[in-house]
Parts: sequence; structure tokens; C-alpha cells
Amino acid sequence: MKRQNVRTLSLIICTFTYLLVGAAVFDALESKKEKTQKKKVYDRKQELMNTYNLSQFNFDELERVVLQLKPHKAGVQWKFAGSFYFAITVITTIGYGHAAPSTDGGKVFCMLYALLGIPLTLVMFQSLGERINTLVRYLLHRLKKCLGMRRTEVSMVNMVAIGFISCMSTLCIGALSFSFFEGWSFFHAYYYCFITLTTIGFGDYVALQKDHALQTNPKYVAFCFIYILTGLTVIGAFLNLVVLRFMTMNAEDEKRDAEQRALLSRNGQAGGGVGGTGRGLRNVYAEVLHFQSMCSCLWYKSREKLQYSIPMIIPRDLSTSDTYMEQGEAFSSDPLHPLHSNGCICSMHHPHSAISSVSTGLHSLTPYRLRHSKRRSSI
Amino acid sequence: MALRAGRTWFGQVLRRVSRLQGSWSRRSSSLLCLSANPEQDLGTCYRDHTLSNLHYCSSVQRTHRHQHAPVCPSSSSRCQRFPDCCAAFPGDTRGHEPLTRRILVVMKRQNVRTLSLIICTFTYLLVGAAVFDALESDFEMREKEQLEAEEKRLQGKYNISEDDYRKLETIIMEAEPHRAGVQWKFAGSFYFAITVITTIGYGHAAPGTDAGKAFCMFYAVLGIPLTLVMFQSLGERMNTFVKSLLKRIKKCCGMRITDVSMENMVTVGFFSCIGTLCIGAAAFSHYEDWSFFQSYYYCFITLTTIGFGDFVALQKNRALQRRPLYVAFSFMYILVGLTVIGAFLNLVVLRFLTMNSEDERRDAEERASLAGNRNSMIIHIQEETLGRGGGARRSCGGGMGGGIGGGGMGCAFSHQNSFSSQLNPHQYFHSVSYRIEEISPSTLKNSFFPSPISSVSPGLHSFTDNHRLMKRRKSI
Repeated sequence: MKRQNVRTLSLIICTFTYLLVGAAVFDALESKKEKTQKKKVYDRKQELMNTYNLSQFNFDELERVVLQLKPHKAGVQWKFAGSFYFAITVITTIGYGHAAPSTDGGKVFCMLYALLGIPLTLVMFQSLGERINTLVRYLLHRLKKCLGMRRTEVSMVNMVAIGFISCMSTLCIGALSFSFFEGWSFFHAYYYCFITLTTIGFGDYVALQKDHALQTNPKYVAFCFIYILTGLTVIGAFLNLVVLRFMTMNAEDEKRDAEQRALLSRNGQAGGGVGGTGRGLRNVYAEVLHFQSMCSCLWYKSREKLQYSIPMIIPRDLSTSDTYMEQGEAFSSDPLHPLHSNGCICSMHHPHSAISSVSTGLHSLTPYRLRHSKRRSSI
Repeated sequence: MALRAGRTWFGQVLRRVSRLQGSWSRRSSSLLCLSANPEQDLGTCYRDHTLSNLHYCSSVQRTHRHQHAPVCPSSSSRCQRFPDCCAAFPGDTRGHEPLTRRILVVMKRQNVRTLSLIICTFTYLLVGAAVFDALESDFEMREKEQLEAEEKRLQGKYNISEDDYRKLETIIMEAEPHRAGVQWKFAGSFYFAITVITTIGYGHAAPGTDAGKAFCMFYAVLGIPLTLVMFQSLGERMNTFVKSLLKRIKKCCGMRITDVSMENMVTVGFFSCIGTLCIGAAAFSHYEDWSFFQSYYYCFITLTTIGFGDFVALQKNRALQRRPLYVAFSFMYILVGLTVIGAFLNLVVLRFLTMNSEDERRDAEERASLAGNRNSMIIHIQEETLGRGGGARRSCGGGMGGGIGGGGMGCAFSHQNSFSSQLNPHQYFHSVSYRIEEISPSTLKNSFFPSPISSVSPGLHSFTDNHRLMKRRKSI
């Protein structure tokens, strides 16, 4: 089966398993408390109903009024500050629900607004996140140079570590601020920041809902908005660093498959014209494909070594690779560069050979015929 | 004869090669022009200038070249030396260009893009806030007055004291999630887990215990990326499948062009999204007793993962416990709908999410190729001074400016094999392979998955282009 299909199937199975496991754990954690709380509330409700001699119908009436009044108790929700807050929750897909459009016109505009706003926001956060990652990478590189370290390149582990730490600190800063301003415990404020910045946005905890903050405390309002947008950028940068490559994996594989098919078909045609080297060409392509799928690790390992010694290494390697090329097409075996049975050119002998094998692999796709034609022209 | 033919061919090669580089080389060469130090020695000064000459001047199809090696002027306006080439460079002291244009030219594409996106988003937020204010504020005020009046009336009717009313309010708020039924049995928990990892987050049920909250956070940390990748993966598979189906249909219908264009795909994607929303709207308006518009609104808010929670399915008549089929339908609908939306996003939006990274990668390649040329040029100059000198210089001088440095640069760039010794094919390979290695480290830094293949393939394509040029040369 194609790699992409296997990958997709396994992801689906993983997600379903994850959902089942999560459901089981939430059931175990919350069911009991829900039962006891329900009973308690029911008892208190009955008690109150008896005190005031309310029928169920009356109580329902009261309940309806109270629940409908709930957002209004939290303050004016639709003046400019509140609308801005709402617009943020729409285009970032947080969606607390603390205020939701009541009018039909509001609902329609909300849908149209989201249609354009969500992709815009996605692209903006990823774009800004990528810029931040680049800046951080550059700063780290300079820092490493300043500290006089031998290896000044910034590895992926460095970047992930920094990204993770910045996410945690963003959450902690938010937790501290909101626990102070909203009177929540640190844990609840942390939970609020987490649920907000992952855009889940339950709405069980919502900032700017106490003491008419939206209207009376503009500085706090500005802080909240900036915190949400900055926090989303930090999380977006981390996602850009870690997750985005996986989202394009299938498409990259498809592209590579298409390229391989194109190359094979093109050289399948050309191979006939060059005669006896057709088999050699196919062997070369097999070796390139094999390289692509198996030899990447060698490439990773040796590229770092090669980086510092490129001008020295190349001519020597090229001469060996040229020698190898001749051997390859002559299908002769050489003690120094044995052709593996599957045509793999991954020679485990010298540490730099992976790069030369890269060069060879890539050269073989085009200059292979070049060398043939070159030899012919020299005749 | 051969030499003259080689010279014209050489000019062709140069033009083609510089066109391969494209506009970003112009930008980098302009940056080079700006950044070069006037105190540099002759060699590097010339190198920088010839680099810029090669890229810029060739791309405007000028064959005239500077015949003599320049002397780097001590002033900062070094580009005055080559007025016709460097006229468009922002560092030109003659430059009467406006400041903004100069800033935009010098600023990287990615930064300009990011800044404009930020400004766009802020403007969008402001406009949205203003419109929502206009649409909802009046209604809110009226509703508030009505409800408060109603509240007073009821308070008076049942003769409830202030304190007791507060208590009643609290009780009613606490009872609210329980109204809809048992929320945390397996079906309800599964529903909740879906709303967490898809980031819908209705809030109809939220963990009450601290342990539940903590587990919810850990659950989300792992689940959200998994779900994102899963939906994109499945969406891409769906798009590929739809593309092949569409191609088959086009073939069957006997159309001339059987390629599936982007417009086709976008249209099909858009209609499938609308179709999904309408199907959901019809189903939920039937099961939940909402109007069609309210159901459509619910489906839209759910499938865009906003999830206000003002409308939530499975909350009436204890559906979670009593109607397993409807429960299964709801879950399936949410997941399938998210896949369809994800496929559409994968088709339309995902490419924009990687735009900055692609530009960075391309910039790195370009820097690598420039650095590679510089290094290969050094080696080639050494070769030249070893005594091959004149002939090679003359041949290289044909299409490009004279001088050792320029010739060396141009030659290294386009392999002057037939005019020099056997070592030169290796020089070509050297510059080519050097380019590969220069490409790989920076791009590999950005990735720890097998995407070096895709980062190598752009290099590959330019090799094939050069290869075609080589072929033509062989035919001479």
C-alpha cells in the first residue's frame, strides 16, 4: 500500500483509540462528582421550591429568566469592547459562548465573518510564528557564537526546547495575571489560559466578565486582548515548528511519487535510445530511490562533518564517485566500492561517502547521460 | 570558429542561468551591493560586483559588459562605478526612489508578508467589532430591560427576598449543565473528548474536578496535534481521490482536456462543504427541533470548531443515554464534517501556511549557491593561475565581462569543460555538488523528517536545466 494511505489509516485508528481512551478516563474522573452534585442541587432546588410554594412550572419560568439574564449580569456584551472580544473569539475559533449573537442578522454576519476571518487568522499566526522561529534561531546562533561554542548551528532540539519553554512561560504569566485580576486560583487561571490558547474555549471560565470590566477597566481589557493574541502567536510558532511539517507530509509524498514516476517514464523512453545503458539507468534509479528511502540517516550524520570540510573533501570524493560511476555502468565489482545486491550505494566505509552518494545519486539522474554523451563527443 | 560559437552559446547560457535564478537574485545582488564594504580588497570587491553584474545585467538582456576591472571607490557610493547596471540598486546615491519602496525592496518578502497579514487581521477585527456592535447592541439593551422587568415581576409574584433570590440564581446556574442530562457517562465523555481534541469546546459540559481539568489539559496537548495531522492527512487523501475521480469522469465524458485544474477542485470542495452543512442542518433541525437556519448556524459553528455552545446537539430528552443511533450519527457527522472542511482547507489554505518557510528555504538555497560559486571561483582562479590562463580567460570572456575573476565566476557557473583541462568537469561537479551540500544543512535544520528530498529536488530541477544546456553544447 502506498505510504500515504498507510499513514492516513494509522492516524485514523490512533485518533479513534485516543477518543475512546479519553472518554473512559473522563467518565472515571467526572461521573461520580456529577452524580453527587446533581443530587445536591436537586435537593436545594426542592427546598427552595417548598419554601416559596413554587410549582415546577413556576420554577421553570424563573429558571428561564435567570439563565437568559446570565450574560447580561456579566456586563454589556455588545458595545465596542465586547464586540471586539467576541470578534476575537470568532476568528481565532476560541468561541467561549459567553456572548453569542441573538439576532438572525448577527448570526448570518458571524458566519460570513468567520468564513473569511478564520483562514486569514490561521495564515497570519503561522506567518508570524515562522518569523519568530527564524528570529529565535538567529539569536541562538549568535549566542552560541558569542559563547564561543564549537558547533554554532541551531539544532531542532534547541528550537523545540525553547519553544516549549516559551509556551509554558506564556501560560504561567497568563495564569498569574488572571488569577490576580479575576480572583481565580492559580490552577484555574492556568486552566483558563490553556483552554483559551489551544482555542478550545469552553467558556466555563471567561475573562472580562466580572465587575463590568469591559466598560470600566480599559487597561485590563487591552491586556487581555494582547495576551490572547500574543499567546496564540507563541503557540502558533511552536505548532509551526513541530506540527506543520506533518500536515504537509502526504502532499510531499505525493509530489515525490509523481516526480519519480516522471523520471522513470522519461528515462524509460530515453533509455531505449542510449541502448545498452538502459539497464544501467534503471539500476541507477533504483539506487536513487533506495537512497531516498533508506540512506537519509547516513546523510544526516555525515552532513555535519562535511560542512566544515567541503572544499577539501569534494574533489577527492568526486574522483571516487566518478570511479564508482564508471564501475556502476560497467557493472564490475570493486573492493573499495562494492555494489550492494540491491544496488544501494550506501557505503558504510567512509564517513563522507553519504554526501558523495548524494552527489552521485543526483548526478546520476542527469549528468549520467551527460558523461555518456561527453565521452562520445570526445571521440 | 568553435570559439566564437562557444562565446555566443556562453552568452545564452548566462542569460538562461540568470533567468533560472529569477528575481530574488536581483534582490540578493542588491543586498550585496549595499552590504559590501568599500574597504575590501580588489578581489572580493570585484567578485561582489561581478556577481551583481552577472545577475542583474544579464537579466535585462544586456550584452555589453564592463571591460576593465573596477577599482572600488572609497566612498560608499561604490555602485556609481557601474551606473547602468547598478542604477536600480537601492544603495545608489543617485537614487531618487521613495523611502517606502526602498524599504520594501530591501525587506525580505517574508517580513513584508507577515506585516501585511498582521495589519489585515487587526483591521478585520476592528471592522468586525464595529459591525457586531451595530447589529447586536440595541437588541441586547432591549432584551436586558425586558428580562430585568420580568425578573422583578416574578420576584414580586412569588414574594422572594433578595438573598433568597441570589441563592435561587446560584442554584439555577449550578443546575444548568444537569438540565441536559447525564453528561459524563461514556457517551457524554466521548462527546466531551471530541469537543476537546477537535478544539470545538462547546462548554456544555466542562470538567468539574481539578483532576478532570488537569487530565483535560494533558489530553489536549497530545490530542490536538494528532487530530490536526489526522484531518489534514485524510483531507489530502480525499482530495487525491476526488482528483482521480474527476479525471476519470472527464475521460468518460470524452472531454479534450482531462487534467483537473485547481478551479475544478476548489469548486468541488466548496460544494461538498455546503452540502455537508445542509445535510447537517436538515438532520439537526429534525432531531433537535431547531429551525433550519438555527441548525445551519449550529453546524457551521461546530465544523469551524468555534463551538460557542449556544446550540448544542444531544442535549434534549436525554438523547445521550436514550438514543444511541442519534448519538452515533452526531459523532459521525462532526468527524466527517470536520474531514470535509479539513480537505477544503488542505486544498486552499495549507499552501499559505508554509509560504514563509518555503521562502526561507529558497533564500537559503540562493545564499548557498552564491557562496558555492564564490568558493568554486576561488578554486578555479587557483587553477587558472597555475597556467592555463589565456585561452580559458578568452573563452570565458566572450559572454561576460573580462578579467580573471569575472571569467572564473562565469565559467565556474557554467562549466567551461571543452576549453580547459580534464579537471574542469570536476569543477562543474564540484560547484554543483557543493550547491547540494549547501542546500542540505540549512533546510535539514528546518526539518527532521524526510523532506530533504523535496528540498533537494529544486536543486535537482536546476541541474536538469543545466543538463539540457550541456546537451546543446555537445551538439555543437
